[in-house]
Amino acid sequence: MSAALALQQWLDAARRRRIAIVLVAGLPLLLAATVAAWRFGTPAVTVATGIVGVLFVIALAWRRARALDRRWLVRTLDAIRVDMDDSSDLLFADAGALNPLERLQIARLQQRLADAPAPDLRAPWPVRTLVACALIASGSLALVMLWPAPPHPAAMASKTPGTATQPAAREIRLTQQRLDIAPPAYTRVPKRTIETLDARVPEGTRLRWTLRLQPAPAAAALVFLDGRRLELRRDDEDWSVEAAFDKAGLYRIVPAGALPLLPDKLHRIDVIRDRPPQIRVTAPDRNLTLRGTGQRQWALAFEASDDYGVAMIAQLRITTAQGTGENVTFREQSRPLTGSGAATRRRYAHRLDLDALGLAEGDDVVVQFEVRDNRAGKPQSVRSASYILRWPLPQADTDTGLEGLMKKTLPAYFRSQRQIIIDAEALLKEKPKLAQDTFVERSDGIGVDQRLLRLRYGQFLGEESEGAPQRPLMPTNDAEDVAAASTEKNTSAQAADHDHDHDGDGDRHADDDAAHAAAGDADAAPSPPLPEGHAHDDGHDHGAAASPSAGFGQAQDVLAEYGHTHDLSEAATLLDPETRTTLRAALDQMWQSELNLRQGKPDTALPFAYKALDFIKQVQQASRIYLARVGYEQAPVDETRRLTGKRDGLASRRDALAAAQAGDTEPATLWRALEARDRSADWKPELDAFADWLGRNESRVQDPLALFAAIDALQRAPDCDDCRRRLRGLLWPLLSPPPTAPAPRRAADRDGQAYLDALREATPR
Amino acid sequence: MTPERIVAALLALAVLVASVRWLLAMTRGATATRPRARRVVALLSLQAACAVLLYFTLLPPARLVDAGTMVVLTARADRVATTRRGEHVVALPEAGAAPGATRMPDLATALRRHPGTTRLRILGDGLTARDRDAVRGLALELTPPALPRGIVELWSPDRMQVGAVAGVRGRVVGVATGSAELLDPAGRRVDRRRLDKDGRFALFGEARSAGPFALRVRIRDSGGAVVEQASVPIHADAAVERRVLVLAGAPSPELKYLRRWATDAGLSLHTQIALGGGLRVGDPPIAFDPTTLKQFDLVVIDERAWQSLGAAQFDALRAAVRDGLGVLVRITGPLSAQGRARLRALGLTLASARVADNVRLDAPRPGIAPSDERSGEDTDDAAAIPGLTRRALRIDAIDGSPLLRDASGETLAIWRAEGRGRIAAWLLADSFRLVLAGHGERHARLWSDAAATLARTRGAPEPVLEGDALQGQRTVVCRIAAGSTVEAPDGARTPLLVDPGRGRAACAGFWPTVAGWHRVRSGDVAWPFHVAARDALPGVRARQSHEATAALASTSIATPGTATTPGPRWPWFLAWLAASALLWWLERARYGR
Repeated sequence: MSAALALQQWLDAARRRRIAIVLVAGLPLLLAATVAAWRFGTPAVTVATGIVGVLFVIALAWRRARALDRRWLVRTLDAIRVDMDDSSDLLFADAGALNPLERLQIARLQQRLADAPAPDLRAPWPVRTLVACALIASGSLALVMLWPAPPHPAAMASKTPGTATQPAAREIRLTQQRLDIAPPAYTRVPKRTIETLDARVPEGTRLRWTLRLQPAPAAAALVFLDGRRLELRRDDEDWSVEAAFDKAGLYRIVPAGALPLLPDKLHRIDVIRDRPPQIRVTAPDRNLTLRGTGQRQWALAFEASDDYGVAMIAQLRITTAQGTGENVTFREQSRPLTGSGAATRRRYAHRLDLDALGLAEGDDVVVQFEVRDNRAGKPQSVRSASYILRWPLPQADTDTGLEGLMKKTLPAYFRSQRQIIIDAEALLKEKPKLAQDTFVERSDGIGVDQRLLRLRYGQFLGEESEGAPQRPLMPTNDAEDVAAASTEKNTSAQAADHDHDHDGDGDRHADDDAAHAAAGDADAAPSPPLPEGHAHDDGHDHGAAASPSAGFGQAQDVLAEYGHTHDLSEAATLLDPETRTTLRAALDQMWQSELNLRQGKPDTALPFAYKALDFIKQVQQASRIYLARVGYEQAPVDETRRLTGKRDGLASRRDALAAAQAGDTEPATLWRALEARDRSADWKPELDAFADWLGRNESRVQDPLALFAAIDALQRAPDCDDCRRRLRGLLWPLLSPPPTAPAPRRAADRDGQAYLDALREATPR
Repeated sequence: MTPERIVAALLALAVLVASVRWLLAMTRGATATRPRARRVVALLSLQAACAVLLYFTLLPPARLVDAGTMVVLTARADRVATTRRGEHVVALPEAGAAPGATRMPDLATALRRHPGTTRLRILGDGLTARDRDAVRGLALELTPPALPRGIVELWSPDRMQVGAVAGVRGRVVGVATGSAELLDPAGRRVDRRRLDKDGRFALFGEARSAGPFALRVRIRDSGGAVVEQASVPIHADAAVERRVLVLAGAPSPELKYLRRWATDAGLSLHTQIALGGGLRVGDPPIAFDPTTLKQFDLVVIDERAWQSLGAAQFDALRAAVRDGLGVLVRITGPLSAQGRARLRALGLTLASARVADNVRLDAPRPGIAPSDERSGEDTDDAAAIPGLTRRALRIDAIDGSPLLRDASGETLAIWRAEGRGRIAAWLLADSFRLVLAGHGERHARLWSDAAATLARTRGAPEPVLEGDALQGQRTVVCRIAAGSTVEAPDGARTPLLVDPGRGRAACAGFWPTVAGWHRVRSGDVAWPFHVAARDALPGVRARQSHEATAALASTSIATPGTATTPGPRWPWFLAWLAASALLWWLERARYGR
């Protein structure tokens, strides 16, 4: 079978040629594709492209080689060898199934194959195709290699650290950052180190920044938006600074020199305020406790909590008020209490020995607890409300429930009455030595004192001194009211002005002042529970009420205009009738005393003065007096005009309303300015105005730092739409909306109007 | 002239010409060689038959066929039942991966490719606006998947007045017990409500300043996890200047608070309160004549002042109303016969009614203040609002509309159009109690609604949008002036061409390419409208698509069974071939010679 072997060899040669052609044509293209993948893709893509390409080329070659099979061989032999007689397929036929003629032909064919030189069945090299492939491949390769490099993130990253090789840096980068946070020791918050530059730290924390900047600038600092500045110190490659923080702030790292730091971010240090401790009193469970029968001790217990810790020792402040009436004495003492429990929540308990305090019937013990936290430097101290233990007087049972409203009657003026008597007696003693004029003058001076005193007591009775009721009146005469704009004292001013003597003497104000002075003197005397509110409140300025520009809706004016804020009449109503009578009798005596003193007859005045003192003593012994409360007092109707039908002096009145004041306009102005769609719109003035406003109103804003940060971001990047949107959002809570106004109604279009007109014409009325 | 007719005419002409030519040639020849009549007839008829058969080969007659059903995959089609074997399945661009389906750019293309289609089975969310027109005349069946979890309905006013409270309402599916929150532009929570059993919610937020802003609705499930967040864009309009004349027969607290509101809300107010005996309090007196009334937009008058108007004054008022003035008659006391007659002359009839004189208004308002977030969930507002009083009267007006209703729906005020103006009668006596009870906002809304309805019109009609404006979808703006342009947020301006086919509606189509606040500008008047982003509110879009497609399904006439389609050509071709062959044979045969 040498013929068959030869045939197989020829076929193999042809197949090898085909494989070679595929490889020669395909490999350059594969190389080009792989290089392109390496250039533009990741390594994985490169490897994948290579593998896939190689597999593809191999598969193609194998396929093309397989195409050369026996049939191809037969056809090719038949085609190129005429001497095969178109019967070369007999060479591969199964010899057993052939007839003799066919066998003969096979023998002839084999002979001819053996005789003739071996035919070249290999395909010729397709030179043009191969050259074309090579050209395409080399062209692609050149294109790929010469293509400008894309910004490759990995490459970028790998390049940046190698600074030495970089000829000229365009920016400074923060390559390392560390923030050591050392909270104050008393907080017991552990120290920590973070890798970011934003932190939330307890008040008083020491922060230490350690930064590494590449390339290193000449100097660098941490610059806070509120103006603080921390210079960074260089230590080899590290830059560091340390500072304690009491105030939150926004800062950025600012290197010196021309190179900018990138990314130039704003960082934020938030400060957690140390809260003052809180006291929760568990015993007693109410502010006023009445002493139980036979009670010897008073159990006190409270709990104090704080965010970091409460001092071990708390103070118990004990005030005992002993005696009644004028003769109350106070004793204060302070006792340390030692607490138990965890530092952040301590409990304190104490049993107060009432006998040791010498408590007797009618006495009060007032206790207050005072705790301090452990803040370093200046501890915050907090005092609890007062808790009272009262040993009630037998008759004082009815007082329960009114404790907050009443105080003991201890007016300072009583001493002054005594003083007047003393003065008058002294004057009488000196009388022989004095000239008549001087004597009368000094007597008159005492008389003035007596008068002031009487006025004070008159107020106690709620009566406007000299007897005739001069209550404020409703404005009834419009003519006067209209004219009031030009005059200093208009009707309403008169109405509101509760001047006590209506005789209109010029020294009214002077007298008032003197009265205040007297009251002030009296206050200075050591008698603590004065009806002080009365004495001082009396001095309120009535000028405001007289202001003609008082507009509608200005709350403070309404009361002054129509009401009588002087609350003494109400105090007077709370005096029981008996006390009232006594007080009135005292006033009468004072009146007589004053009359005589001012006439220069102190000797005649003295008995009245003594009587007055007597009555006052009675009042003092008698009872308690109630503190005044502010209330609305309707001005009475002028009965003299009522139902007379007279309309003199009445006229129409103007009543202009002033619109309510809206809130500050800066946030709204900026909000609107930032809304402008057009980028070129200039909102910088509004931004500056708002930043100014924010600086002044930091406490009114919930998170001022966020606003400052947003403003700063916008100032640095005016084109940043997101920054604008963010700032606008933050402004929203600061806007104060006006009351709802009606939406505009749009006119109907032509058809609609014609319809409405037609409707009207169709319904004759 | 249809192609069919042209072909038929050409064929007929060819047959005619050939026949005539052949007959002429035959008659010219010798008589002996003339064929017999039967041959002539056979040849001519075969020739005609060939032409007819050729015609039908080219244009086979239409045939009634079984209606083809096409399955169309739209967005989220993979969530519903798969297709059956043997169906035409096409996938529109919204559909996700759809193995086995033919990709089509739109439905019209798909229908053109499959002419026999008479039924459409649509799987998924339904057809987008692009494809809805193509359905015309086809039977349609929609198999939608369940709506996606989250917000599927969201309604909010797109325009409102500064200081007004915007109600944002919506519906959520897939969240059994959860809550809806409203966040203001600063991200603070201003309202929070529990979802009701249908998943509905209503939240209220306030417009604090003029200009566009966006509230955000956040849905949380019972565990507190955020299910969905959606932006609610609103444009707040600044108050326009209004002139209001208040006439009253006596001072009252109602007047005081009405005037306080009007002044604070920026209305320009002129008040005249009679004190009796010719005395007045308020602003300087004005002449009550048409010239003066022309300067006012609204007159608020109480029944005492109403009755004391002189005949000439009343005529002036009536003329002014017909000319556009709004009048609100506050009936707070007994009304004389003359007063009633005057109201009747303006179309409002008063009749006494047996009704309770205490009323309660509804009071939707933000549930929680922004400052205290912990408290106040779902506060019971209605309980907090104070009871008010009304006159026990009934107002009848044939063409009247309610101006104010109480919480139970009882009418407290009615208005009607009189000429170009409007007149209303108002029975609520003491709305000021709202302010005293701390509901100043409700009081302001009460009166601003009334004033908005009644006051004289201002400005030309504004454009309106037909439907929602959605990025990448055709939007129709109507009632626009010629020469209007749309200004996109990025500053691009697009002129609007008014569609003459829509007549006086003056509509124009517009394809927004960017989301955000657009403005229709005509001259120096700008009218804002918002274009929603393409991917905003997927649940709402899915629901809208379901509904629009279901509406198409309900209007489409189901024509089951048959459709016409061109019949097969081959029988005609064979017949033509046979005829031609016969003709050819006959030409050569000796038959009939």
